[in-house]
Amino acid sequence: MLFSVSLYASLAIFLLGAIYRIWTWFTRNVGPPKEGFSAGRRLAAAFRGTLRAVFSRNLVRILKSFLLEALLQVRTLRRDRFRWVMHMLIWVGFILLLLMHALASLVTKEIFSGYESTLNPYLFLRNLFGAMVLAGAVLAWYRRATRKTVRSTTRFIDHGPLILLAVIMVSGFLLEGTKIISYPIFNQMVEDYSGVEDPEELEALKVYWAENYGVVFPRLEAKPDQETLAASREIHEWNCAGCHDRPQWAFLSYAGAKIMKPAALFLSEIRADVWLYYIHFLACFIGLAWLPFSKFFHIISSPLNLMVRSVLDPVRAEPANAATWRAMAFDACTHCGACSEHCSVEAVFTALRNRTILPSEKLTALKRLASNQGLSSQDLRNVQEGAFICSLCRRCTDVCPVGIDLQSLWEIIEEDLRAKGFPEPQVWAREVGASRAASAAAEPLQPDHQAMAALFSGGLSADGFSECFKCSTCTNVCPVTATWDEPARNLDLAPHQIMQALNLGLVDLALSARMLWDCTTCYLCQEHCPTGVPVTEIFFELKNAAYDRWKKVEGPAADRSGVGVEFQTLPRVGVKS
Amino acid sequence: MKFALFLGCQIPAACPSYETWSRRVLGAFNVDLVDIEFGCCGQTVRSLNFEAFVLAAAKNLALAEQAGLDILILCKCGFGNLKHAQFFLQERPALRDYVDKTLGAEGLVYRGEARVKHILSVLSEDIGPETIREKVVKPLNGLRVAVHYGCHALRPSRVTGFGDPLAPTVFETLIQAAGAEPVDWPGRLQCCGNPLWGQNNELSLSFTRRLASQADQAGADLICNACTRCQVQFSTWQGQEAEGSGRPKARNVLYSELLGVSLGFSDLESELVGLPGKETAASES
Repeated sequence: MLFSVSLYASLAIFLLGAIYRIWTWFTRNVGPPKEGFSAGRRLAAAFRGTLRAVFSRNLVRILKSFLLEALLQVRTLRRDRFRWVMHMLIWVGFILLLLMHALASLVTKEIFSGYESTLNPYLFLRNLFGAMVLAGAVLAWYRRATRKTVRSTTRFIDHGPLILLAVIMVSGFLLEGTKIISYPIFNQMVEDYSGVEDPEELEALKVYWAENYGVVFPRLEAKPDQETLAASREIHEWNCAGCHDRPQWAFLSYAGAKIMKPAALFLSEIRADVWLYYIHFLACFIGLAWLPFSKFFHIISSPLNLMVRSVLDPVRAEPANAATWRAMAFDACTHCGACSEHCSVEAVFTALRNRTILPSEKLTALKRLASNQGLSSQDLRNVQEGAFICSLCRRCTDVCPVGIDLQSLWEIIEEDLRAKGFPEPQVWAREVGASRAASAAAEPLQPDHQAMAALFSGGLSADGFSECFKCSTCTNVCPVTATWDEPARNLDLAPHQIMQALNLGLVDLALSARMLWDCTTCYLCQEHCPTGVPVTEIFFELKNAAYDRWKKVEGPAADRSGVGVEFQTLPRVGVKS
Repeated sequence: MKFALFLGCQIPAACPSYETWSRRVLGAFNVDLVDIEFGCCGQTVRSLNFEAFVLAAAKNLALAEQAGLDILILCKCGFGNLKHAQFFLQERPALRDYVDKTLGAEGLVYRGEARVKHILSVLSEDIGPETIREKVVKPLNGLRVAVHYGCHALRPSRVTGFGDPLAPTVFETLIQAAGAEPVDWPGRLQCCGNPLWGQNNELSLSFTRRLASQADQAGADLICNACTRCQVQFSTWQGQEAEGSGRPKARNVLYSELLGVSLGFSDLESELVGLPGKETAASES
């Protein structure tokens, strides 16, 4: 009763959940809203695209991708053998358990006429497959515990499924173990399957099973002699052996039985096997119901993503299909962390601790952005910082085992956030500086020597500017200053004026100059300075300080969007034009 | 000769031909290139956070040292950033402490031993123009080339040690080794505008526009870069502005491509399709 109710309930939750998840592929919009399509249009486009792909030579590519990338996982194998072994253990073991054991009455019995769960090879294989899953789960846990970057991104969504898998496997082994030692089970099986009725024969059979099959009985006669054993073997072979191999074949369950043996009678009395049976199947059904809402869903979404990828060229595809494929990325991602492990700017994450620098976390943030889950302005600015720090090296895209086109998502996220009023950090800092300078323009200049001391206390470029003797060579060689007829209108201060401001202790003036962010870092000023002032280096330090300070003192970027300085909408370097 | 090849982040996505041609050219002179999974040189974060920049750069240096190799780098900005990191780590003990501790947690050690060399320095110092000249099979006679040095290798010279910051000749010598003719032009030591791309595109492109017209006026057939970001910047500008509006004559090409053509790597020329410079270089050679 409980079994079927929970089975059907979890099946229903699974189906509804899966439909919901797939529905989001057609409704979520990743990127600026101008590219949005209605769900109907996207569904229709997907249908057309699928038909076109299946009834063409592309089918070969789809099948090849399914076989090599989804089943054999060559993309993982090429990058990381450890992860490949780990994942193959889990998924091969799990699928075989599902087919042979969980769906025995539907699959195994139909194919193999002599199937009995207590016979070899099934008795042995069930343990082997279970051991594979358990070993894989332990390796996965070990990987997450020991690899630095993955450890820092691991959350419940990663541990939860591993724990559930372990619960299913361990409860299965313990269930089988308690059944091995259980005399009530023995009695029941004798009743159900054997022709033994004579009490003496039954006693003899018990002797044999206690000796060879590990059953623990409450009262047994003293050590049986050879004669009794020989007789009992005959009874066993006549009644039991045909349907029941020795439990030692179930090597892990038998080991469990051995360990539980001292407590065997107690466990039999409380019917531990029944409790474990409930735990075992309920854990399975929880897994089934949870599947669409957890990373387990990748069993469906990741192979699909790989197959779509094998035939979909995001540039030439129907835009509606490209949009759908982008939305699929969130579900295809298994949060395995391979992208973050190989991320080029991982060291920058180590220093700044902004998680959205890492690709796996950026994708999570993008998912929240696309599903309109509340992200604060602070969050959004963090995401933009993370997206900006990405060096667009495309390694994440190359290493992704499920073939998500991550790099184009990063380009989209930047554009999207720009459109929402969250420009790149440097553009933002330039804007903030400009608005602060404008609002302070009417006030008299006040030196702030304390702030000066704090600013340069790190012993960075120290007070290199004090060597400045106002010759303005730096400004004369500066190509940025030379661009404008009236540099002050566009840059606030020219390079030599910034040095002078610092010498006068006018920190705020220096920090808010747009010159800092328009500096192209060509180092002409520094190279030509007759007194060796490290002008460009000082600019870098002022930018660092300004960025830090604006982050602390400025309200969320959205509150003052449209500050008057137009930020650029063109993609930044690295985007092929 | 053996180096760890530091590709830099831009090459795989934005400028893959630079890698292909450089590997072939260096291979022709028996330079062994070892691939290490390097990370970002720190460029993206330098304006935002100094420690993060130095840490990112230092991690690469430590990785090369772990492999016992010097670094050969194709990009000028990456070159400058790695050189700066070495410089700062020597000058500032507190910074060195921070880097040592942070890298130490990952089992890495920064010793400051790895040399960082740009591909132009390897070609001119370790291989030499004479050796190059001997290998050239299709000298690019009559091709007028405007070399563009790239800021971050030249300056600040105290840090980069690339050559004379005011009157360098390395690049011209290498152009001559390939049989082409370097032109004298005002933009050779100037900024291409790339560092401003994405922050102030108008300003950024104004630099590129100025350089391209200067190269044109000097009668150059090509602008030759030896830096990923300079090359990407000129290509971006060509794509943004020059298309359809009387494209200027001077196209942009990478030195590895130019040298490769003169070394006779005709099988690679198909890779130049779509890259400005192909027709000119091939027809002149």
